[in-house]
Amino acid sequence: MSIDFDTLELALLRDDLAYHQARVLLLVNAVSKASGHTKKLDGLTKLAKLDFLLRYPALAPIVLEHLSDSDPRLSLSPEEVSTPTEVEAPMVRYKYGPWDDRYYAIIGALVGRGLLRYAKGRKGSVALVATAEGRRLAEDMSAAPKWRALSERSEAIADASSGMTGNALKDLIYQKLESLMDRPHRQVIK
Amino acid sequence: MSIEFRLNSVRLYTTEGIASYEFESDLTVLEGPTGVGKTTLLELIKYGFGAGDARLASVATEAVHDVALDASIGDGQFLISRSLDSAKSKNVRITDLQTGERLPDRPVDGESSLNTFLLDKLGLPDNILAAAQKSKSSKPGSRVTFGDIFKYMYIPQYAINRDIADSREGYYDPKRKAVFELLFKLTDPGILALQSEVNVLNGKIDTADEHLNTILGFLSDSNTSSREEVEQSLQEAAAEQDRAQEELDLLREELDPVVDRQTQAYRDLLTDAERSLAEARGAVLALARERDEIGLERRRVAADHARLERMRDAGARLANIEFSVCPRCMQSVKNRPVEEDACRLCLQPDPVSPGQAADTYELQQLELQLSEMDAQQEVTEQQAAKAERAVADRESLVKNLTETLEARTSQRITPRLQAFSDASDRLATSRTRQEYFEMALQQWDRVADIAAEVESLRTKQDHLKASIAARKAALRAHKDSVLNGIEEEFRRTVSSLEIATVETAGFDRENYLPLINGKVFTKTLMSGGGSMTATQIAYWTTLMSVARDHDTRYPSLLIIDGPRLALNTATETCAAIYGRLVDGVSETPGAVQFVVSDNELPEDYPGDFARIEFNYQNPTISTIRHPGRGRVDVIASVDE
Repeated sequence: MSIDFDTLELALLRDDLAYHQARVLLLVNAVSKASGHTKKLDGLTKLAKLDFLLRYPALAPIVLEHLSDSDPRLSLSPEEVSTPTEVEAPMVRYKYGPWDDRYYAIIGALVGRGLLRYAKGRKGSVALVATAEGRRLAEDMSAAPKWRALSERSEAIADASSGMTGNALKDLIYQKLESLMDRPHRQVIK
Repeated sequence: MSIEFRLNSVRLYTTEGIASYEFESDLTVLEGPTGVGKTTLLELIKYGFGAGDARLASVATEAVHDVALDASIGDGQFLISRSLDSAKSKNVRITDLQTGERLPDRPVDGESSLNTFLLDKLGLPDNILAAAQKSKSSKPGSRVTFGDIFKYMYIPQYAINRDIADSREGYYDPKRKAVFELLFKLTDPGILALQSEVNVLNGKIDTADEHLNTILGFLSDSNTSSREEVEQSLQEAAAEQDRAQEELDLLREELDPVVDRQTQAYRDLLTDAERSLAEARGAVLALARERDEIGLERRRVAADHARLERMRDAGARLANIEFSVCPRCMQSVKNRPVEEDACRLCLQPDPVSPGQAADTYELQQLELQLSEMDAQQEVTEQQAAKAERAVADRESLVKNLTETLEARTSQRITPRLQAFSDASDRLATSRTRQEYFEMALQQWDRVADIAAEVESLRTKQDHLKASIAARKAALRAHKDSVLNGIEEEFRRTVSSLEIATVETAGFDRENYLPLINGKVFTKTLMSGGGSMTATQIAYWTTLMSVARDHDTRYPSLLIIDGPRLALNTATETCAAIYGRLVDGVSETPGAVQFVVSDNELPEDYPGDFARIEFNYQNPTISTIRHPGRGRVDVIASVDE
């Protein structure tokens, strides 16, 4: 990564990072609120897989048994259904399915800002929980039109993935989206 | 004058030598008991002349291999030799005894046969057909052969008590009568030929009539009573066909769309409208595609725009939330001194001053793009709407034109359809009727042809009949003279013979047979006492006598086999018969020749006529030993 960014690029990079942080915050907040997730998002794998479903919302009903593509919270347009991989924030195929390299930085930034905190997860894994300030910001964003769709989708996915571990989600994705995952590592999923 | 026919001698070449018999006398009696071979000898003579199927005893077929007859016929004298061998018997050897010249061999049957030779010597052609003269016969008649004439020369033993020249055989009647007439010159070969032709014409006329009736029957079934009627019907049918054809042509002309300019104009308009409709629909589709593409692109730009906005919003929201802990070591950074406009974590000058809005260039670009696309979208929408209106207009136009055309077509065609169909039907019907009437006309032509043919045949036949009648008329005086002579002579002879059962005797001028007690011979049943034999002797000697006194072709030879056989008790009649025979030859010596075979001669038989006596030691075929009385089959008995 070059360090000679000009002001504009820096601003964009920061905003991009902020965008991902905002989305992850909404997701973690939604999962923490939803039943069946023990009020936290348990493990990075689970975060990555749920975030994948959030970023490719038209694929979520395919993977998640309890989610219908006609769920109003998904607010899927016909174009999104017909071209489910044309999304605003694509991911790459990594060892265990979709992945984003920025998760560590995103989580670090959210925790550093006091919007998330680490919690103890199953089998010694790290879990994430929204702090009171994080919850407040997430609720605030959910009310804004710009974020409403993401917020509602996060909730729908959190509800539909109730009780599922990261590994279970990963297996489901491989099973249901076999052709989509049948691609080299590091290739953008689109 | 009879035609001279005299048997001078018979020579039999047998396996054991030659047996020879001379017949120099006018009357020769072959005398001997039954079974010595008298009939065999006579049948061998018949065989020698090839005069029909001879009844040969086994001794003849087994022991005799050649028969040689020395006969004077007409002006000539010939030796006729015929083999009994089946292979050689088909040809006869003839020698002219006057010149000693060996004449060419003659076959028994066919062209230039012995038959032809003998007929020729009797002054007759060999192609005479004996046609029936009275019945409505259609047969040309069968050919007269020497065998038929020989029936007038040889009275076989089996016939003497029964028949005169096969007169009891109905089928043979025309021939027997024809031969009688020929021999007495009551007819001539020309008349017989004409009669034959008349009969053939009868057949042709019958066939033509039958054909005519068949066709007339067919025409009657076809409900046409005359040729004229058919011709008229044919003309009517032709006229009807012309009318129907005219009507059809007229209807076709009216229905022909090319002729109807207005309809054609509508069709052209419709074609144009359909084409522009297709174009308008194409335009609508293209605009819709364009609109979709713009919409898709706009959605992408809008999505990018939304993401940028979310990025900026996120950036703005998070900008004021300062890091409170270090993301690396998680220690609080709240209480650490930070210079203004420096990053709280890295303490370097903050590149983006708080509150400073992130760059909006891209957002502006995207917004500009969006507004351009919106404008483009609107134009496209307007164009699409226009195109859709055009489509609707064209559709309506096409619909209207189609309806107009349909209305015009149905108005023009429907009322004419029935007329068209009717006219077509009438055309087809009149054609069929014409064919039918033409066929009927042909049949009427056939009727005319056949009627003309029948007429021509009848005319021809009438001519022939007239010709026959004329020829016969020319012969009438001769015929009357001959028949009167026969009748008188027969009466006289019968009277002289004093036949017991005969009260009246006459001569049937139609059948040329004796009339006994008012009945024709064939219908008379004469029984016992040799009446039949006596009547026959009277008949035959009468014919011989009359023939001698008139100009005839009657042969001068008469062979009688066994007159005595049925007369054994009537010795007076027998004596009278022989008296008559003796008279017959005595009148003019050399004029006739009688050859008689008999068991026994009357006691007062004059000795100056020849008698050849046979017995079992000296049979007729003397070279062959006779097996003895009762050891041979008598020829007559074979037949009876």
